[in-house]
Amino acid sequence: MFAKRIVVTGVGAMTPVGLDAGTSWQSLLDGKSGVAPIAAFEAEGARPSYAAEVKDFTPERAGVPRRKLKMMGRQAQLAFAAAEQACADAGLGTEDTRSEPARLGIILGVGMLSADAFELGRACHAMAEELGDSFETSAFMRAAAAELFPLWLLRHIPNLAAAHASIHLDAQGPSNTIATGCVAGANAIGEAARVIARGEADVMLAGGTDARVSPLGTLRYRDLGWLATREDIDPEAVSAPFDAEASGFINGEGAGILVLESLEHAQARGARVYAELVSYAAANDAGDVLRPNIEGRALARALTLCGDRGGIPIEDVSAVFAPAPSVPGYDSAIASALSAVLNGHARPAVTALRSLIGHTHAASAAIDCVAAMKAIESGAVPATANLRRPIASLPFVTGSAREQALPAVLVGAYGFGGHAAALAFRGSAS
Amino acid sequence: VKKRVAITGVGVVSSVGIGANAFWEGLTNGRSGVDVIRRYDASALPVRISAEVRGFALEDYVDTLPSYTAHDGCRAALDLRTQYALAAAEMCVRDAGLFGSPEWIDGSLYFGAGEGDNDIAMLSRLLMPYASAQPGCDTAGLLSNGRAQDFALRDQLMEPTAPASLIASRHGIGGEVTTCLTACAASAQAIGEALRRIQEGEAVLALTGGAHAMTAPLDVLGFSMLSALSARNDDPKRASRPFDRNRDGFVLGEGAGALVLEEWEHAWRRGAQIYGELIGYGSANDAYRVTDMHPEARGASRAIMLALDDAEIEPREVGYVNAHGTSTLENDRAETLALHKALGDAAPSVPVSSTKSMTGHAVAAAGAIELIASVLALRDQVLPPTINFETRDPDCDLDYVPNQARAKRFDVAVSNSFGFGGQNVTLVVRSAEAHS
Repeated sequence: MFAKRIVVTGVGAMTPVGLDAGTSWQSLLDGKSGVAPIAAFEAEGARPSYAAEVKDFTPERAGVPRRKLKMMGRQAQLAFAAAEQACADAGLGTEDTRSEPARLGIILGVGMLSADAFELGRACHAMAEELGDSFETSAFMRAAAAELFPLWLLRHIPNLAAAHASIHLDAQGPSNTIATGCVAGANAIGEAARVIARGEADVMLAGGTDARVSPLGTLRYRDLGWLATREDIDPEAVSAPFDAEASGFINGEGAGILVLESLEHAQARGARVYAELVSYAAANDAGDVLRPNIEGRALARALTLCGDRGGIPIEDVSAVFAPAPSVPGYDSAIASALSAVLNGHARPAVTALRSLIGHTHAASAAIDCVAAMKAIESGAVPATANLRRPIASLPFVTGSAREQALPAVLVGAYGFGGHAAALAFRGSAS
Repeated sequence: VKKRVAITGVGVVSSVGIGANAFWEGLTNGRSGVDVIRRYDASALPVRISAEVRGFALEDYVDTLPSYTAHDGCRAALDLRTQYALAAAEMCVRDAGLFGSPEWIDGSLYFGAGEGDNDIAMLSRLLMPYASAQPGCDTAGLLSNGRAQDFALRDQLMEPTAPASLIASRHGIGGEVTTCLTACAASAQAIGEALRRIQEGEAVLALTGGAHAMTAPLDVLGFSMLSALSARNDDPKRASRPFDRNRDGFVLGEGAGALVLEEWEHAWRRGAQIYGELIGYGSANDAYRVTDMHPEARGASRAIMLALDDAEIEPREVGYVNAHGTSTLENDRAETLALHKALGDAAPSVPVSSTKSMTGHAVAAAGAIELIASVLALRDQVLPPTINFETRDPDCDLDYVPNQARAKRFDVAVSNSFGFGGQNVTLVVRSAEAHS
């Protein structure tokens, strides 16, 4: 599909189950859940009181310069750490091994940060002191001007996550920031491959980052009816993609980044190769933006196109990383799409990592891709946790991780806005 | 072999005019869209001017809203950015004669859009019962009580990709639908990437452009805090003065620009009007600082050179540059330097104007609005002026088409868009006549 062969030579990840790709991978294999009581803000008695946060993350230890911390949102800090790891993993981590600045680029899928409930809450409090219960724009803004951190806008501007990483890595090549919600990480990786295939860069960092475990982010998803709020079972048992008991997603956060490069560039520098990225496709439901098409039309189209473009017959696909978030409507649309694409006879191992790490939004597909690289490397597919009564007859991996060779892997992405995308990887780039 | 790409439809919502005709008539007459803020009480803000779109009603342009039903059937008001996007998309699809075309199911959409604006009255209602002096919010209380479905739906539809998703829904665009958000370069980048999709055969039709409305109270406050805005509160019409020695910052604007890109042969076969041919795209990153441009304009100059190479155009063939020209001290100096570096000896003879002198800075929408200005300039062979150009700056020594539109015969226009985060994008467009 691509005019040049594209390979993955490095991975980096910050996830709810580990502060690097290796630790995260071992947790996924062991079925360790990242869901826990919310630590970012006081949530005792809240609905929900749990989330899948990145734990024990200290930006300083991840190499984020202290003087930059105040102007970096959490999503930028997570991406910075994952990008640094991915470069080191690819053997591009030091100044003398780094590729030519103008030929090194970055594309990140990034999410939107909700307003800060604490800063605006203080502004509300100050306005109430002046006006009682009523609202006036001028009074609110007077209070907000005093309460807001002067550089708050810089934390919120989405493309600054890629900017901070590009400054640190001296990446002067093509840079883009994609904001297609839950599919953004997959779009970023696909578009980065195209940039290399066109000859516009030799090496691209590509992936996604998101950090929405905030009071207003949580409230938003809860009252859209998408978030799980069950308190009657253990939080680790709540995220149940493809299960009849699925009741909503767990709000997650994280970052996943791949180093992509042309095969010839990787070979010339003797780089270790995880896999070849053979094809990419994206599609849209063109329907209701807040609900999936009942048959997962766009996802089925993206998966089929991706297989066709990569010259991979569906029977040859050995594993599918599915985007099921544990939201009943989305899970069933995704199951329908997979059933249609597998066409009754293909039997790839199907798994949904959101059962363990929650929904990491713009990072989710990128984290799935990092896991796919590790899966190919180690010959194993993690199980979907909490899957007891499947809603569809698909070859799910349940119980414990399944060991098998993985010559061809598909990663699917699907979500808000009717967006869908798919990426196909081949285990051997020889 | 790269396929050729025609521009066959345009749609624009701007402070200078709504619709391509009103917009172009405003620009060529040097009309400023900047004024005191009227949409809300701005008296508490350090900056009280912006370029607001006036007299806009979505139903004048879009008779059927696309689908966005929440689980309980409730609907929220769409934020202004999305309304502008839907209107501009409708105009350009109709302008191209492709409204209702079944071909959109395989069509592509690449939009550069910012986030929707926060509704501070709604947020205040929501937070007030839980607000405190410190830490500011009883979050456990906020999340244990109540329902906030109106907030939830509005916040979700503030997502950067909401406009693209709703446009896809409205026009049945089922191919690749993408939103990028690279600050002030976003819609130019979206157009460049949409160009690639058609050049490479991924799509025959692409809707592209961008929308943004960073004119709400928190936006104005946020940019004021970064010391980026002009403080000429008492003289709004003269506040945006790109390349003038007495410039003191940009003026926030808003709006949307949308274009239909079409594979040339496809457009020609169906007898479509062709505004021009999109022939070049370059993108380069400063990797320098998050808000400041590189002092030697390394990313900006390389974006221009890459775009000219991509278009297979020599600097002397460039007939007009629509500058990023924000009216900040830094941008206008660095952009002038970038043009010198990229155009070399040809630079002094190439007219350069900034239509932001009239439209203000529409941030993510700016690149699309300005490419449309460049396309209309090619069509009519008229260069829009840089208004408020009164005093020459020794660091800005090019021909800025001061104050009056100018007739000129030319074939190639260049449009620059540079953004926070060191994002630099340049697009190159050629007149339809030059092709035949």
